[in-house]
This record gives sequence, C-alpha cells and structure tokens, in this order.
Amino acid sequence: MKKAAIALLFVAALAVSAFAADVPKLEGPYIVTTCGQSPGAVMIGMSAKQAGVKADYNNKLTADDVKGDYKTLIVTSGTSMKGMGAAGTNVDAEIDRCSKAIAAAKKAGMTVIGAHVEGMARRTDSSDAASIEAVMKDADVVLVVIDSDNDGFFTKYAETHKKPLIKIKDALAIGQVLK
Amino acid sequence: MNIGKVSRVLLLGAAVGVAATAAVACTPLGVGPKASVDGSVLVSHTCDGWYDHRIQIVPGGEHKAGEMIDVMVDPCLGTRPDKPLVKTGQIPQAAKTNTYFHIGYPFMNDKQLMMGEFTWSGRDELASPKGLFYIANLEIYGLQRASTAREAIKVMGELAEKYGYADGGETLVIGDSKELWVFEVCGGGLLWTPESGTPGAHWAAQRVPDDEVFVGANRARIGELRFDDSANFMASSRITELAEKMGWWKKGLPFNYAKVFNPEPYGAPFYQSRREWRALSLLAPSKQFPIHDEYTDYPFSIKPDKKLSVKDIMDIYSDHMEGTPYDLTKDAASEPFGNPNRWPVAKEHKPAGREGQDWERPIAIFRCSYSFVSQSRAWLPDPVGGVLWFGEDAPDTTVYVPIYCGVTELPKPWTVGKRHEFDPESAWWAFNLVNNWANLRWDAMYKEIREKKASYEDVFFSKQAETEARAVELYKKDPAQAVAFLTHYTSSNLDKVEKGWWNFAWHLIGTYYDGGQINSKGAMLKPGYPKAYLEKVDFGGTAVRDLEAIKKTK
Repeated sequence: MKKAAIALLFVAALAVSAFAADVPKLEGPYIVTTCGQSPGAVMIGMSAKQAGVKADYNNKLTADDVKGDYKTLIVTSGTSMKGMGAAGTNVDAEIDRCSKAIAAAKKAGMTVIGAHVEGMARRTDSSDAASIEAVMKDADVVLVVIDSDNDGFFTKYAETHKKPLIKIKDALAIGQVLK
Repeated sequence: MNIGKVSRVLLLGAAVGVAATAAVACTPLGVGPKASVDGSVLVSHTCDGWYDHRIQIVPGGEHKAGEMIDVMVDPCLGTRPDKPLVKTGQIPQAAKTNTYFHIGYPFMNDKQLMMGEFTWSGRDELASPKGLFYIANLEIYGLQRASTAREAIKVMGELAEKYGYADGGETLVIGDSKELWVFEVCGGGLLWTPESGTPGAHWAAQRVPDDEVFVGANRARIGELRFDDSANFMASSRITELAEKMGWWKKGLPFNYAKVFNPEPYGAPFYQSRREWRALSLLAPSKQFPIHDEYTDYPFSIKPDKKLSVKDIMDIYSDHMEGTPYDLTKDAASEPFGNPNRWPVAKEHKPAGREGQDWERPIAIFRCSYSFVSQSRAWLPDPVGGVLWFGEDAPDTTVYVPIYCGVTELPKPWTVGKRHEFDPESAWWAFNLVNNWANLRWDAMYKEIREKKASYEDVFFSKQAETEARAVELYKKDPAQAVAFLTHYTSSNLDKVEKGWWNFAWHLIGTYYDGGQINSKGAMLKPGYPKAYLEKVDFGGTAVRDLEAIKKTK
C-alpha cells in the first residue's frame, strides 16, 4: 500500500481515466471527517452521494464513531477559522481528534485517505499546514484536487513519503473516484 | 449513521455555535396595500447585529457599454476593521441605474422600491465558495436595476444563478408601490463552479396577498412552490435538480422550498418561531396562534385583525413579549429593574442540561444596528411616495425619522461612524449610549426614553400629510423643487433628532447615576430596590446570621 507509487487520476466530470496500478482499490462504505472544520468533508459526501456511493460525513467524528461497516476513512485537511469558531474548537483539538480517529481506523483494518479538496485557499497559514501534515503523515492514500496542488506540494509530498497520490480535476469528480 | 442524520447533528451543532457567536438575527415584516390603513405597501427590518449603520446615497446614472463594476464582499460588514471588504470579482455595469440608499443591507431606491432582510443559513451543502455574491450585493443590484419588486427578483435571481451565490440562505421582503413579495435564496451547492453549467443559486419568490401581512425570523418561510402560478410564484431554473440528487426531495411530491433547503433552522429552540408567533399574535390576536417549535410553520401570511399603520409596526418592534408567559421585563433575569436585555451566553457557561438553550429572544434587541418601517404609495410621485422611517440602534429606544426616497443628501452624522470605538461624530452612538445607559435603571429610564421618543415621532406623524401635500404641489410645478423641499425637511429632522438625542443622553447621565435620580429641584432621590427583590436575594441575611451566631456565643 505504501509502495513508491505516484498515481495520477485525472477525472473528468463523467469519465474516469486512471493510472492506478499502485493505488489500493478504494472501497466503501466511507466515513468522512474534516481536520479543521472546513466544508471539505461535506463536499466529499455530496460528491459521493451524487455518484451513488455511500459516504457519511461527520465533522465531529471521534475514534468511537469509527466502527460498523465502514471500509475507508477519509479525512480532509485545511482549516476554517470560522468553522472552528462556530464548532468551539481549534486546530490542536482538531488534530488530536482526527489523529485518534485515524488510529482507530487503522486498528480496524480500514484504509485511510488524507484529502485536500478545497484548493489553495485552504493552504494559506500555519493552521492549514499543521492540519495537512497531521492528516497526510498517517494516510495510506493522498487524494487532492488539481487546484490544491498548483505548486506541486502534494506531488512532492507523495513522492517523498512514498504514498499513492490520486489527483482529480475538482471536488465534483471525487464521487467517481470513490466508486 | 445516515447522511441525513449526521447532517442534522452537524447542523444543530453549527446552529448552537452560530447562536453563541454571531448576531445574525433580524425580524422583517411586510404589509400588503389592502392590509395597511392608507393603502401603503409597508416593509420593515430590524438589523440585529454589528452591521453597517451608515446611510449612503449612491446616485444612479447612465453608464457606458463595457463598463465593469467591482464586486466587494461582504458589504454589510462595512464598519468592522477586522473584516475588510474583499474584491471577489467584476460584473458588467447596467446601462442605467437608479439612485439607491446603501447601508448594511441596502434598503431603498428612488423608485419606492424597499427591501428588508433576514438570514436563515440553510443546509451546509448549499454553500457555494466559488460564488461571487453575498445578499447585500444582490440587494445593491436589485435596487440599482429595478423599479418594481418583480423586476428586482428577476435581476437578483439571474445574477445569483449566473455568478453564484456565496452567502448563507437569506430572505428579502421586497415592496414596491403596489406589490409585496418575499424572495429567498441560497447557494448552488458546495460543488458548484462557474464552469459547471448548473445554476449558482437556488431561489424562489412568493407574492404576499394584498390584504395580508408577512413576518419572518431566521428560518425560510416559502413553503410549497406552485410552479404553474407565475402571478404569485417565481423560482430559479432547475431548482429541484440538486435536491433530487441529494435525496432531499422526490419527484412527484410537493416542492417545499423551506423544508428542502432549510430543514434545520439555526439557533436554540424557539429562536425563530417565538418571534413569528409574537408578531402574528400582535397582528391578529383573534387567531390565537399556537406555540410552534422551529420545525412547524406558521402561515406564510395572514390577514391582520385591523388594518396596520407605520406606528403599529414600530410598536411591534419595541416588543419584549410583555404580558405573555415569556415577558422579559418580568422574569427573574430582568430583576431588579425589569430590564429585558440579555447578554450573549458563552457555550461553556451554560448550565448542565441547558447546553442547547438560550435566553428567550424578543423582537426588540439591544444589539440591533438599525431598523426601519417603509411606505411605498402608488398614488404619490416617487420622490414623495417612498418614505422610510429610520432609527439607529435598538428599536425600542430609537427615534424613527422619515427619510423620503427622493432626497439627495443626508446630514453627515447619519452617514459616518466607527463602531469599534466611541465616535461622537456619529448619530448612532447617541442612540447606543442612551440604550446602554438605560441598563443602569431600566424601570425609570425606559419610561423617560419612550416619552422622549414619542415627542419626536408624534410631530413627524402629525406633519406628514401637510408635508407631503406641499411636496406634491411643488412636484407638479417642478419635480426638482419637491426633491429640494423633501431633502431640506428630512435633513432638518435628522439634525434635530441627532442633536436632541445627544442632549438627551447627557441628561440621562446627569440624572441617573450612583443608584440615584436627580429631581427637578436638584436633589438626589434614592429609588432603591423593589421589596420583593430584596427578600428574594436575602437582603441583610449574612449580618442577621452572624449576629445570631455571636449571640449564641455570649
């Protein structure tokens, strides 16, 4: 799963083309959460729903919630100060919550996808960077939209850490990848 | 866990957060022409939060082909240094624009078109981060480019669909000189992009019957859309598509806009429905409206028991639920001086078992930036027929001053003002000071404030017919003379009220201090505390117990 493989999936709105020899087969049902209370998890949930894929989203997912039939945990990275304020949390608490959820998922034998699906707008400050690092370091697969990797950060990250990378056109295309 | 269930949990959590941290909560009303005492279409709005209180008259004009205008968000936050306006894009300017009155939520143009506003946020999934506009942007373009409510809805709806709507769900009450409409809008969805080919907004509009009145308070109010009734309903293109894809609606069932896009109204229980209930109960006591929670709707609009005046709406805006089981001037938290103001409660301070609750929410609230009641009248020329009774700060302690839609300038103190520091150049601070000072001794000062407020408003009402008759007379000779006359009349009233209210503030400060009240002879009265309150707080209790203890030791 963690072979030195960089796979790029360029997903058009309706057509999927993949070079995914080393990307593990992604399997649902999915459970999705956000590390930083940005809308990313809801976006993935919407895209999955529209593609007919079962993906529940829970912005406050805890380790105890990682149970049942789920095969894959997706954690989106990048933070929203407004979202964290409204939820009464902060980046440190978010990282702690998500790290525990990821550990629980791994213990349960689930695949963990670290995602960044909201573009460069969620890569502006130290909170974003901390969230990205915390999520990606334990992820089995990195999933990003092209806009999030404008500077090649995730491509380089995946190469350096020998993680499979799925790179898609935009958030709307996520559901197709999860099929 | 299914998506619906999780989403409800998320929304509830977000709602509690919003209620604790934000102040988006307004209570607009609209009155159809056959429901008002004189045939006016009335629109009103309380702008309940820290929003731009400064009125700017933005002149209309003709514009060259190819001219572009900057889109700045979020216009309503104009006085907040921590939230600078950001340019999000450009759109083509219209060939011709009306003069409009800019404020936090732009409210009037020179064609008698009026808008009141409230927020309802809606589903998390409906946000459109790639959208260009917030609701105040749409209001600007609606007022600049339209002369009627129907036109404004079309303008705003088309722009929102084309460029995307980035704001949370919002409702506008829109009145022109003949019709009253309610417009509701939310985003195209989190996955929407300008290139997606799908509409960037989901909006609908419903006409309020001429003999009825509408009230809304932080939950969407348009129910089932009747797509075949274009006289009374309008809606965005492909409005059912996303809802069907997401499983929020099934083909063949009625399409209920509020239930599809705003199934979980934000705020603590009754945060929205209580104000609707209270306003409706005051408008039509004979109907004895039952108590509903946030999931059960009151009628979209109702026939009031009697025809309504501007003053009736102003009185509703001063309401603290007096005489009801929710009376904020009589409960324990109002003691000892019957104060209805309740400060925000931080989440971590809420008692166990009450984490999801909040204070009862009255219509009149201290954090209101400004409020208004407008009249649009088809039988009068536009500059005279459109008048907006405007009050700075909280509605219960403000003075409503008539501002005619034909005026070309306003006195500076009503057009400026910092909010992050005391600004004596701004009229807003005179009203805010009076409202805040009243907290020291609400029972005594509120009575005095109401008398002072009425002393101005009664004069404006009594002079209205005479003033407008004179303006119409001038208009017939030369519209410019009518505009000059009304500009002078409006400005002199605003000047009088602004100076008078500062003086009144100084009077209150010099009269009520240190628990006392200076009387007309210059002596300080000591009104003290109500006896029942002293008994309740165990007045003298510690001393009595210590004395008894000492006595036992002797």
